[in-house]
Amino acid sequence: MKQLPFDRRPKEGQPPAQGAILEVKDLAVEFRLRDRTVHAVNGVSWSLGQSETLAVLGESGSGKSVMAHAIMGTLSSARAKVTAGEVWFAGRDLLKMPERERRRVRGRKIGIIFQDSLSALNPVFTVSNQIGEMFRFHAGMPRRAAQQAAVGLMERVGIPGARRRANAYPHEFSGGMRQRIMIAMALALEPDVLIADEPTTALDVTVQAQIMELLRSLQQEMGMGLVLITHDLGVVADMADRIIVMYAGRAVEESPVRDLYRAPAHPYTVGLLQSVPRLDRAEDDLRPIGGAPPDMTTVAPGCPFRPRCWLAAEVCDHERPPLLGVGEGRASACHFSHAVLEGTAGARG
Amino acid sequence: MIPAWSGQQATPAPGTGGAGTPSAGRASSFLGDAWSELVHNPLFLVSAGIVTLVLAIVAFPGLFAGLFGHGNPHDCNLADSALGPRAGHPFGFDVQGCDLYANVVYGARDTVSIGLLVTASSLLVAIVLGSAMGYLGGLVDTLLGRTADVFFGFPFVLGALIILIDLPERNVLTVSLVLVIFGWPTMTRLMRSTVLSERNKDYVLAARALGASNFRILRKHILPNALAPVVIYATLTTGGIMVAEATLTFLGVGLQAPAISWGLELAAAQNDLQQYPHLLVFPGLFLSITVLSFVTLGDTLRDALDPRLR
Amino acid sequence: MGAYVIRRLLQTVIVFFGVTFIIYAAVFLIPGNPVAALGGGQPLAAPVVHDLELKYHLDEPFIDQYGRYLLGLLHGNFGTSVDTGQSVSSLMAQAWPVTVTLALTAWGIEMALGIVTGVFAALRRGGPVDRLMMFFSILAVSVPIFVAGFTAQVLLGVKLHLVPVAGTQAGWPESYLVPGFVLALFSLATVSRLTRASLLETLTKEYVNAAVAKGLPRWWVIGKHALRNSIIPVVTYLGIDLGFLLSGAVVVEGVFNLPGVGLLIFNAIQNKDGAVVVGVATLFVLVFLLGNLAVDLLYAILDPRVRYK
Repeated sequence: MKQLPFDRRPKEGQPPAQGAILEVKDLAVEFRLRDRTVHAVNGVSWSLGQSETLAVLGESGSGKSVMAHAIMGTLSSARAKVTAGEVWFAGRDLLKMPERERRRVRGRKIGIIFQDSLSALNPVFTVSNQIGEMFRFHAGMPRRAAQQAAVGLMERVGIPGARRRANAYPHEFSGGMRQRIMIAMALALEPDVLIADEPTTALDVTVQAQIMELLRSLQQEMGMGLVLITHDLGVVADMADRIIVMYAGRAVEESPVRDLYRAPAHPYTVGLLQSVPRLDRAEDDLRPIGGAPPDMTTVAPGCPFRPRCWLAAEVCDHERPPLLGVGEGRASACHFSHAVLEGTAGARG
Repeated sequence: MIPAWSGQQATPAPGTGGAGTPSAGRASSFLGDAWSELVHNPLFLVSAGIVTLVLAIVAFPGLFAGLFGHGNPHDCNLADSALGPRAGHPFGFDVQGCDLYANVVYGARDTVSIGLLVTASSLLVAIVLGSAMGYLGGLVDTLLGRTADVFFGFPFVLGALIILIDLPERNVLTVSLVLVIFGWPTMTRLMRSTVLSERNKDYVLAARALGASNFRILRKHILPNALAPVVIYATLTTGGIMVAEATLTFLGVGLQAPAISWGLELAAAQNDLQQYPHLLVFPGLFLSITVLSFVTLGDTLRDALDPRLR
Repeated sequence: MGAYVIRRLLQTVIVFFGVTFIIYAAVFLIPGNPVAALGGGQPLAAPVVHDLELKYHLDEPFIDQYGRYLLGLLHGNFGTSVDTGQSVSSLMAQAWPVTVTLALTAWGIEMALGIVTGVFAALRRGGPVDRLMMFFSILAVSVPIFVAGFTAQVLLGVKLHLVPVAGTQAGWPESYLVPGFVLALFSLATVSRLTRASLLETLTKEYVNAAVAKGLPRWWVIGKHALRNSIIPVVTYLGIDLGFLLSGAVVVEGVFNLPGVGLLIFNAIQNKDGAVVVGVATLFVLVFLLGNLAVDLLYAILDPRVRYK
């Protein structure tokens, strides 16, 4: 497990930390609408090591998907704009690259899979056509060879009767199978990093487990880094090495998995963990986090979680807490992170 | 694992603006938004203005025809045949020697009436039959659907042509009837599909579970939601109906003399158009502008009311 | 796919019976002596009336008459001209090539220009070209064919002497270019708008963004993924388009005096030759029916989701 520097505040323009294959520094993304601006991502920083699985945890609207698209360069709205930050990959800042070169990174070096497999696949082309496309375009393979390679990939991701079903269309497959097809497409050229944006959210629980298992085995096989974006705590617990918790477009906590679950260091994380109902304890009420999700059209001074936080004090109104180290390989963006840590660690004992 | 010192549950601090608080002071309704958008759209204003003018001409042709002093379209003198524009006769004379301006003004009446009549009737038929098909389904749907298929088997103008040529008398009513016969399937199909998609929605199921009668469900719940697309479509077709009528009349199977219609004027003039272009320009221009404004009006309405564009 | 084809075939057959029934009923059941209708309301001499009555078996029960009529249709008997006595089918046989040439010219123009302008407008959305094209397309939809036809004829033919004013003496393409364009006008506008709207909608779809995420270049994404999906609504329109081409041909051939099948109808109306009008129009309707069937099958080939409905 990597050692993180004590102070996680990003330093601009510096080359990536040791051993990291993908590093995001202080990324900010805005959506400029007619009458207002939505600040979807407000300064996120993290790094991903080789063969590491980093989970990005957050509710809807926390900015995690936007962040993924900003990294890939696939922000589909014309109103979206990356307003700050750097994304370092293979020694270069992706955000400053000309589009032509950036395109060479996409698909080939960094892959992405989406939540809704039915809309992410083109309904009028066969699945082998769409998988084979990767080989035909990027590797210059002729049609037949690409078809063979596609079938091979389909087998590898566990689609039964791959040869027979290669010429079927996306809508003829079940959700789980389609997700495997997306994985096959994304991993066709064995990228260094795979970003999985809510890969199992639309699937049944049993299928979820299968997909996650597939991702894990493929990751180990290829030695690739995995960024797992999700809001599902259960999915994260098994797979991830480290977790970033996102709130209101920022990273509020960063920690190795075990430590986070055992003793969270941020009030939001505490709230998240509490809100998951437990079968092993008798509890009467569900415990949601009070209050409403933040309004992303304003960047208020101070901590974004302040309206919903039981620890909130004067300082939280004025000063935005930076992401600071709170322990070995851990960081939290809270003025009272140590208090939270003591409280949660103490409660354990 | 809740920290002992934290109290029971996180409580929100006062004085926050969470997401979802509407901007203060502005009632935001769908129709209200649509209306304010329309009023600021110059295209809407212009086309609505022209349409209103045309409707006024249709209602009070004598008023407009008399503006230049020779307002009687039947006051004809063969000696004046095909003369060009001059004082008192801004459009000149037609082949029969009648004041062209007066004829063009009066010509609006039948064409526009047919356009509106056919649209309104088709809409009515579409609402009734479409709701029946979409809501009741089963045999009703199949039978009506097959019937609609048969009428879909005719290209619009050709079908009307075949029926019209056999009619002993062709006036506004009979021509409208024939156009409705060939026009109802399209709107009905549209109505059917919107009713069908509303029928399967949860709020309808809820109403059913509460024991509401079919009719009540249709009237109170489904129709208000399903009507919008069909009405918008109807506004768009009015222009097309007028073009169809003019074309049929031009061909000789639409309105007959002594009716005054743009199509008739152009048909009468067709052999002389090359020599006397004013016979083409004025009726043609009026017809085109009228249709254009109806079509544009329908377009702007649709853009304003289409929820997807909001 | 097989089930889909069979269903459509069956539907075509049913519609065929329905359509011919309506046509027959219109001619023969509408109040007023059918013979008079065929004769266009002109008084006919008694022996002529008697002949017609025998010929059309007007003394037989309706169903029998309808049956005879159907059989006749299937044998290519579309009636006889009251005016000239020639069989309608022989009149049509002579005139078909002109109409086919005209229709194909129009279709080529509307497809090529329509799709290109639509794609252009979508990719340069909001720009001056887009607005201009939107304006022209609304215009094209609003101006009736005969007005456009006469205007083109007077402007381009008479005033500017750019093209022949009428007739087919000048051959292809001179004689067919302007008439073809006029015939195509309405559909050109519709195809252009359809393509534009369809491409714009397709570009918002997630699979387009996913294709970009795969590292595919813009031209590949638009040319392959987006266009293929955008074409589908245009194909659906093709069926209706055939109807506009057929009806429009009557007007265009009349205005430009092109000796095609449409002109037969055009003149027959003037001459009150009801038999020719109904006979030719019937053939048009049957062509329309078959054309729609072909389009539906094409649609199923293009959009695999349809095959399983």
